[in-house]
Amino acid sequence: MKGRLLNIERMCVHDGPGIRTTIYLKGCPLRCRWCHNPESISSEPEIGFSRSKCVGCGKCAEVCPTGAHVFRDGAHLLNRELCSACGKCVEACLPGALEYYGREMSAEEAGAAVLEDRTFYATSGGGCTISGGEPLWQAPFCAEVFQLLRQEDIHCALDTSGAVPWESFETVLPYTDMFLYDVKHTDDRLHREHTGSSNREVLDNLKRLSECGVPIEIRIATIPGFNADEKSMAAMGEWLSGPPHMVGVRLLPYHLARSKYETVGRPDTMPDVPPPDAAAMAGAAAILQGYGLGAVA
Amino acid sequence: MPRPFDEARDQLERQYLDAKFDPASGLSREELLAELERHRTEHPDEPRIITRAWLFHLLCSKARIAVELDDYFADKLEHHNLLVALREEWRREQERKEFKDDPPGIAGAWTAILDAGHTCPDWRNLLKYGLTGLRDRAAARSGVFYQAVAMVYEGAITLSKRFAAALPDSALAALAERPPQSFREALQLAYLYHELQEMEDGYSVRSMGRFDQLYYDFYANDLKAGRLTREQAKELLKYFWVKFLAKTQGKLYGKPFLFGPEVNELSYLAFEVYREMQIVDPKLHVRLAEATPRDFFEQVVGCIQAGCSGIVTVNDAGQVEMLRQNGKTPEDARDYVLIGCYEPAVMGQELNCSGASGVNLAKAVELVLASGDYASFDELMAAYLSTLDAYIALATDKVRREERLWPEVSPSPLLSGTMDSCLEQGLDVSQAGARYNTSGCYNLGLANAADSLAVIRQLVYEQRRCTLTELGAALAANWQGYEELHLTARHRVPKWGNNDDCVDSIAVQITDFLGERINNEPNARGGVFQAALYAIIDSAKAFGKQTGALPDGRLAGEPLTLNTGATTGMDKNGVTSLINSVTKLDLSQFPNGTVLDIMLHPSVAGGAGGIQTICSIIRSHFAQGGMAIQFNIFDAALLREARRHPKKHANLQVRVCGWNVRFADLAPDEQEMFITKAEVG
Repeated sequence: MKGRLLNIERMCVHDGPGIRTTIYLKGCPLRCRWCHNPESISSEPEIGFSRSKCVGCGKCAEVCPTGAHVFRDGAHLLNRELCSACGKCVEACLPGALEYYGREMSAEEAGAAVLEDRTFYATSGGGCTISGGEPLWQAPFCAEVFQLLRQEDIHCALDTSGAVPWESFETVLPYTDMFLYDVKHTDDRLHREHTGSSNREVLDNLKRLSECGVPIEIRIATIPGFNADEKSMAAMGEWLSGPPHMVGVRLLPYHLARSKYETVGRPDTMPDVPPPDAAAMAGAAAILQGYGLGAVA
Repeated sequence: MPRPFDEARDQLERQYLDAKFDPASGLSREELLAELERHRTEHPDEPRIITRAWLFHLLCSKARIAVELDDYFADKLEHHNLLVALREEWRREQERKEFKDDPPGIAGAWTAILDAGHTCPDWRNLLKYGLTGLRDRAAARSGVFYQAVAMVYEGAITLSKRFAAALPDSALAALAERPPQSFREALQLAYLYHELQEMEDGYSVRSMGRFDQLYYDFYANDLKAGRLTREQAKELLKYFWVKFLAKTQGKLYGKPFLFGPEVNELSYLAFEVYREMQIVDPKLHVRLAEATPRDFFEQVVGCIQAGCSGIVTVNDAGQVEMLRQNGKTPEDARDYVLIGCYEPAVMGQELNCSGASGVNLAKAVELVLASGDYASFDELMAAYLSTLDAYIALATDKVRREERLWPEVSPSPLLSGTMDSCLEQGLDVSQAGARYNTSGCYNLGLANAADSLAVIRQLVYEQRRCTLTELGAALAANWQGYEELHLTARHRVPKWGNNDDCVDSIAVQITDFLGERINNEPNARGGVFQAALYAIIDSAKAFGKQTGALPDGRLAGEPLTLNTGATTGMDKNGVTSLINSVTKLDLSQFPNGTVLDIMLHPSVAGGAGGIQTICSIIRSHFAQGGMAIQFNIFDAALLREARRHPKKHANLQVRVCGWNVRFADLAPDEQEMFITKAEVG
């Protein structure tokens, strides 16, 4: 089976225990305003364009079958409505201004790429993490990759937003050693406003998942003006202190990624707030710790 | 009683720059030279080893000294490098005779010198017998060699007495009479010897030996007897180590001390001191084995994480096995140190001369392209390897001729006097008196060569994107006017260091050839050549200047790639892939040493998790057959900031393959190289 990937990153140390290889899958049901991977949102392949690297050679326009690349008055325009994401221009772009997001890869190929670094997993207690996007939109692919890796004794973690039907969890559960689970807010109205979706499914799935016995690390992207305040943190702390099998809570500070929006031609939705400082992160962690949660910032 | 180290530090770091030699304490340079002239006139047929020993003794007894009341150790003798000057005079004379009819070689293809510097004296004997014991065991025998050894150690004893007379409470009073008995006496003796070996043979990067093995008993006995506290031992070590930094001012290859694999309380204390001092010299090498305690391993890594980039960690099991396979007895193999930067050799028993010769792997690509057309890539590759073969033949032959001149150029009775094998045979190290007499042949620019050959194979022979002639024209033009081909070569062909077999297999082919060709090639001292795979920055720059544009996209004159690493900025798959590439090579074919440089971003290497991450990287590298690894931990932003405000970041250290330096002391192009590297990592 083939999956649609954003990329594969090696030597990851923040996506679960030890040194890990993280497979980023493309496509996500949520539209979080602070998303720092906007190239992962669409489940369709697309072309990334970094204007600063373009030397204006025009090779992309020469090979483009749909005329999506246009040079007008020395400016390079990419008309995304015409672009069929065939990738010919990426091939032709020697300075590396164009990038292909969404290449397809078989589970075997992805598994083999992960296995290259198995010595590092063995010495660090690491393994493989599948992230996204929302990896469970491609749950059968995740299951197949994990199944291959489990045969090789590789630790498998899945990093999910939880905003998927429960059946997707069932597909991967038999092969998953750990879940990294994003929680954004307990208030449904705010959740809808900032992510475009209700939190009902996210929290219901989390409750159900916590009863399956697989370790879960909660991750909270800490966004000033949305959930970084005392009240929001306290509400999440209270909710999270209920379910079993939580191995910890990790707070991830909001950070700016504006240039990436331009790269994929998306309107920039980043909140206009400065990232939280270390003191604010420690404060948020302290609130969660107050609910008996092993929270780290 | 000297001041606390932290108060005296600034002054101590300048101690050699500011040394004031008392004119009343001895003769001037002119007077010393006049005495030497008189001696040489009166003894025209004297064996050279005796002339050197005589001059050594003269300097010890009559050159001016400087003593500082504010120091635990005495060491400053104004010898004006007269022994080195004498050696250079003899070297010029001998080389003129030997090499006058040699045709000029191809500049930048290979190098060969007389390398008398890379070795390690027998520190164990020095500490066991002391100056008097080493004098006496030579004086008990008759013959020119023994006479010379006794003379230099008599000189060292005389010098000790002069220092002791000028400096109350000096450990040298005792050392003029007997072997060292305390930690302080042992360190004093080691440093005095270190200074005298530099007087004899010039600045050289000789190993300071296995520190925790050599000095533990002195330390433990002092502690047990209540003569020394742990804190006092730390102060002594700081006064001792700061001398190495004061000597190099952070700008020369430093003297390495070796630790492990078995450790003791002194090992922990030493790393505590090193971390507190935050110095770039001396360098510390650590042998890591299964048996190395985890807390010590983590302490070492904590130092690396804290910015002490002068630390190299070494795969002990791999090194011992490699030494055994290369003719060392099992016992000697376990007693190795690392000479210079990373070259393994048996402590006190081996003249490994690791810098004797070098071959430019990249230059051979240039030469092969310039000298013909080839019907297939295999044919071109065969021509490439036979070019390397010719370079190696020329380099090793020149080394053999240099080695035959050695006894007439640079006998070293001080060094030889420490070595049992020299004493047993009555032979100086220059006459191959050491137990093991090996010669190094290092190889530079592996990444340039492998990447270039991969470009030729793919673009010329597989994709037929250009002909060999067109590629040659692009290189001749230094890629000017061939921008598209240049970008294609750089970005559309796999590069070494990304765990891609397309190019890695070429590197394997080259290194297998080197190991087979170089190792066991006889030298002129009854030993063999040993291959190395490293390129220290000086040679990467010097050879790079003499190498034209290359198919990998490198421009003419740019530095070659360093050590076993990837071309700067080309290891885009990160650290794990770089290690996976490098460990495809059979690194045990390089008994003269290899090392891998790793750059890590603080977000990966910081915090408590960072220590575990670095430990895992080291363990993984060794588990896959890596031999030595060293780290730089910082981001590009910090380096840019440090370039703008050097004073504010005066202590920022970087590791530049072979030695570590303060970032502020690097040349602008070297600073730029680090920033580029940090950006990619």
